[in-house]
Amino acid sequence: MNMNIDVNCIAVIGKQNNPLYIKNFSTTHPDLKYHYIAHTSIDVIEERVTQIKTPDVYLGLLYAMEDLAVYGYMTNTRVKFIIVVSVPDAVIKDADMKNLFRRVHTAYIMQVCNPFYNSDSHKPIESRQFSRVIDIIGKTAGGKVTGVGGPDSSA
Amino acid sequence: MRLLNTRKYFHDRGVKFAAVVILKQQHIDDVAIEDRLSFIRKASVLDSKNSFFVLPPGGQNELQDFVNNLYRSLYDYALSYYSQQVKRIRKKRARLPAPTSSSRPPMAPSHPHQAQTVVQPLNVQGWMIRYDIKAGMFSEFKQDIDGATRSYESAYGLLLDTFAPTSTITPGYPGLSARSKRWVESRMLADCLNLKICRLHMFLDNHPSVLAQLNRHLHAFQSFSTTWGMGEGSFEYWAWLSKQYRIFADNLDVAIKAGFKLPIPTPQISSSSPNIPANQVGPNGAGLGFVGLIGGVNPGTVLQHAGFYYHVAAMCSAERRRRFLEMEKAEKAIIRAAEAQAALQTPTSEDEPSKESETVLPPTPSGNAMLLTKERQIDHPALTIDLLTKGYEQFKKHKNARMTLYLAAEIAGTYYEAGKYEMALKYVSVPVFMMWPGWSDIRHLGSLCFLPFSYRFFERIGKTYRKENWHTVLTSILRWSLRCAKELGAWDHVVEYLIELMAGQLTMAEQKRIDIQTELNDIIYKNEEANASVHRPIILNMDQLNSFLTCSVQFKSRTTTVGTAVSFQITLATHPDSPPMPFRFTFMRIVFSDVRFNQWYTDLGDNSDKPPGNDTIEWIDCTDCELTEQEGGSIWTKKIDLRFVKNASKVIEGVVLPIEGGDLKVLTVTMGLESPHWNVQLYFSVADRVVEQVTGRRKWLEVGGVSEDAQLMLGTSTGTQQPHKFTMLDGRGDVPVLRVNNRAPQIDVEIRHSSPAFLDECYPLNVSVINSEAEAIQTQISVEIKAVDGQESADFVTLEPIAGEQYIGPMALTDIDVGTILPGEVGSHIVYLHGTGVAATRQVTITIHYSVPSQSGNLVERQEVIRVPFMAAFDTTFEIYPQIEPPRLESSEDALDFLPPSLERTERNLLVAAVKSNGPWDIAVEGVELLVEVSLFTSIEYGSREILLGTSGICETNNPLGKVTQEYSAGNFGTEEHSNVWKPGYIFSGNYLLRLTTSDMTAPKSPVRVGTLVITWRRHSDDVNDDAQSAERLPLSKTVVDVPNLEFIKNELALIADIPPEAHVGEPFTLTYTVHNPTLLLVELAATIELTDAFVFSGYKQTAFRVLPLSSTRFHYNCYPILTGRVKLPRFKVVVKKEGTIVGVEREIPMETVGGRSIPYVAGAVAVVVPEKEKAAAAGAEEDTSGQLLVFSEAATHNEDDHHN
Repeated sequence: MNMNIDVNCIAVIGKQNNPLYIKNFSTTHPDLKYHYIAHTSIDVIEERVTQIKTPDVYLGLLYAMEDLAVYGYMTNTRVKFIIVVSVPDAVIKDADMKNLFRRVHTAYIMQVCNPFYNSDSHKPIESRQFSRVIDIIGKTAGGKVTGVGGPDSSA
Repeated sequence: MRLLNTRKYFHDRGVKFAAVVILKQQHIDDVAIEDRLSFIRKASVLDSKNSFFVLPPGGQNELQDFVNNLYRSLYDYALSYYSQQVKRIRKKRARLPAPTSSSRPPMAPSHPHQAQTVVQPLNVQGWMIRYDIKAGMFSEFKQDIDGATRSYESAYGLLLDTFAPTSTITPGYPGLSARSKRWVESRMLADCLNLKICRLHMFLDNHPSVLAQLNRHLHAFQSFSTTWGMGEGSFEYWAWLSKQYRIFADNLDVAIKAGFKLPIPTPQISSSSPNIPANQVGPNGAGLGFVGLIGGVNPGTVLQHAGFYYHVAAMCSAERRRRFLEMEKAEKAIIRAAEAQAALQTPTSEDEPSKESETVLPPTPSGNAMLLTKERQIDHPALTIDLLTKGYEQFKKHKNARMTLYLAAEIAGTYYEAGKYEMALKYVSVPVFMMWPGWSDIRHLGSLCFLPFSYRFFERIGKTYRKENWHTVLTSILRWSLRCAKELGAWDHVVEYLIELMAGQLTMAEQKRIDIQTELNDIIYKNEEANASVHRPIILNMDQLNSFLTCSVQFKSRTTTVGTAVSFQITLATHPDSPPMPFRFTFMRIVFSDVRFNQWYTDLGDNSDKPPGNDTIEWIDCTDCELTEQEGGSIWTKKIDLRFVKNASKVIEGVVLPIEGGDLKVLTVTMGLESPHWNVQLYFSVADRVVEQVTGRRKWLEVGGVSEDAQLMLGTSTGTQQPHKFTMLDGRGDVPVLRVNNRAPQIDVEIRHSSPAFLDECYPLNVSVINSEAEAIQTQISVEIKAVDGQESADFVTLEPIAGEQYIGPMALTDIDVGTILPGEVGSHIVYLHGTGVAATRQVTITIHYSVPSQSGNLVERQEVIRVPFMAAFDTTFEIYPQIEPPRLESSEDALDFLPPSLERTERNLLVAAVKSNGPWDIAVEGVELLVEVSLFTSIEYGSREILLGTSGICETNNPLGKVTQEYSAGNFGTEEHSNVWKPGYIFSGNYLLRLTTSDMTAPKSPVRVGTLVITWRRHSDDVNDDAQSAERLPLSKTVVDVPNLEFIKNELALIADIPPEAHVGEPFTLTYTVHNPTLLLVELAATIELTDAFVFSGYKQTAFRVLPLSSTRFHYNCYPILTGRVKLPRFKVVVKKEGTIVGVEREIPMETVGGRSIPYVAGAVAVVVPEKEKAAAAGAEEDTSGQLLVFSEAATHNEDDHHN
């Protein structure tokens, strides 16, 4: 089945709520917009985590603003992943979103595994490898690149 | 009657009628009231049970109860009534012809003006809508929300269809033409119906349906709008959309306040939600490039709190403004074009929504002119801001702090667009209000009060963004602020923003950074407007901003001692990207916690020298600063190069020489820019930094020296400059604090004394200070004595040996000057301790202060505490032996047998003092004397003799009549020089014969104080050679011991026998018995004497006599001993016959002998008869034999004598 997800932005936020990585895939909104969105979604994540008694790493839809839907995911080390998608014309399956987040998580784990990366520093991630992986995730998620029947569509 | 008419009126219309009569207070007791009421009831033909009520006057509660009851009783009627109504309406609707079968009457299609004029009958579809709405209304009244919703939805569906260009229900039937009267009405109705349905869904707690309805509505009209020529390119559409969202948000807000619960969109919930097809979201998406996206379950249909919808409304409002401005521009262009070409553009039916707004073709200018005129009167920013503010408050209520920051930024942006720069700046600083309940009040404050606030607010606005490192957002805010500040001419803020914008963390293009730096430079040095006046100094805490410079401070060592110099390094590092061009500070200041170390560096101002290249470490030696006088004190100054380039470090090394103990801190490091009109100070509050995360090891830049080897090898004059190298110091992080310890004392203290000390002694304490310092020291000593247990004691310390009797000195002596002690030499001083009172341990604290002349002001202190046990030198015990004697011995020569009454009385007591040398030391005693206290009242009878050192005196007593006279004293004191050295444990005994006299024996006889035994002594120092000399100099100590008080013998009848100590066979002697009556009673006595074998005697054998008060009677018996040995005396027995008025108490008076104790009369008195006449020295010394007399034969004299003694 083809995923109908149009990823606009993937953001990684550190445990001190500092931005680690924000990548804008859309051509319509400026980066600033996604910075704001990522920042404001911290609120919702914090609220969500306290509301749900046994929070899953996947937090589901955080909020929808204008034509954008913001999804959240928080690792056990309180690192947050945020994916902003365009509101599509069909149901977004949680399984699909979860799958996306898992791929981001895997990429982040690979980044943390790098012994030269200081996971406690507040500096943004500058790894080229990480950027590349995130780029692939963002661009292939909605099947934009591959289209129907492409390699990713089977997910 | 009126009642009747009303009833009739209602009855005719099928309405049930009920009347309520409320009685007034004055009518309640009226008798006629009952009849009157029943009359009214009958007259109005009302049923008393259900339709006619009479209420007594009562309070609000009773009335309320009644109304509630009425509601309840009428509820069923109402329900059935509305049910009927609904049924009726449904029937009517069912009777309508099927819409498909009838044809729509033709409508005037395209021309709105024409449509307004033509009166059209309502078609079938219209009727259906009408009935559906009616049915819905009645269902609602019936509280059948479900039914109402169904009816309304049906009506809404039909209504929507009428707008469609081609109806699905009535095929081939054209939709309502745009802007016709009916169209406007229908639109209004559709909007209202939409809201109604949304509300009903909210009543039903049906979250998905609420939003689904809204989306359905918006979507439907979005698609219609494009066909009406008022699509997403037109401001009308956005105005309408904004209004829809706003009303929806209002409703939602009200619903939430009334208890409507928003769903929590957890993954579980959202995945199980039903899919609602054909919902439209993204209403403003068209303008942004997303056309008519249809929402899925998740994002589009999740109901969120009102804040989001207010926000969307605000965004729509903003879009409306943009569209309006575009259209106005286009309109003007078109008008100009029209004037030029005289050609009109007809409206096109299809306005493809597109993000390229330029391609949107405006409707006919003539049609739009009116709309534009109307639109021009609308204050768009105010609308947007109002919506944003509402959203802001919603988010605030939901504690979404970061969202409120975002909205604040949006509000600020709107203000900026509207040209209200002050408000914009203020909103940039809004987040500070979030903690302020009254922020909305402050919001309305005039712009005048803004500027003073803004600086402080600004520091806090970016706080969250700064703290969480959202540099992109911060950059945006700073740029906003900068623009506003420039517009306002708030130049000091401009400078502030520019400086933060220079921070390398804020990512931006190189050219922009250069622009910023150029601008900053321009403002400070050139810009005329900015330099029009002298600005107040701008002081920026760079630790709270993003800074292009980082500053760290290291002392080379964490601790030092006074007088030891410590160097410090201040490392100023620039960011790899900033400053893009060399940046010159004019001064640099380092503020220490001790102002004497403050440093002030100024720029060298050297332009010729090429600034150090990028990526370098520059070491600047500031250890050779000069102390310069400035206003406000002296300061260390130097001129150094203060130019900074990107990706470089300057390490400034200085040195401090602490002169006193404590912590020496680097408080701040300030980098400054000074121009004729500006004084900008960027300070790093080094001391106040909170270390969140200890970063790395401490680093110290070692200066790469000139390699001598290379120089030698190459044989050139220039050495090779080795690169500077960072080495690691102990620990991590910054060390801006230097602990300065006082110098450790370099002296030894020796205290010599001979413990234990004696009380009353002048106890020397020899304190020696051995100077181990390299220089001569000036020393003072302080000594303090204190009883250990905190007991009271009159201890004191003296500098000179004082024979303290009465002198009480201070307990502590301070700052005894010892003088200058040369290195390696010993300075000593003797202090004398005096302990009095309690024999206990004293704590002696000796404090030595000294200063080294080379480091004036630095006093080194050392303290020694010793414990000195004090003990009493002597242990003295006293015993008192009363000497019995007949009264007035001196008058015994008279041989009077009767002594006249006398008030005087004299008694003798033998005082035996045993003084034991208690301590471990030999003591040289100079004298032991009994000081009999002199009475002030009595005339002195000075009949005492001095023997050896004894003196005598007359005592003063607390009994003014009694007096003590020392008659005789004897101590076994050697007269030689050294014989009065008492070894430890030696006991000295002194005998003192004391006469106690009183002039009135009848007076109360309280004990008489004797006086004190004073021992004058000093330590015997033969064995201690070292201290011999000093000990010789010691004064004599005096120990004063109180002698126990003397008491008079009781006033009782006494029989006193005067027996010679010994007698000799053949030599007659006289026995004298004295009966003494010291009482105030006349006594009658009877006396008998018993015969004995040892004596022949003469005198009364039996007699009766009287003794007057205070007088005595004597009996003499001349005895002739006839036996030798210890023999019994003739027993003299005196029996009291009458004592005062008491008769018949026959009691015998016990006999006492002179100088001795009473003789047990049972045994009888015994005399010792000795052959030779020898008087013993002390009378009464042989008390053992009292009552017996040892009689000697002449032949056995010597043997007996020896034996006796």
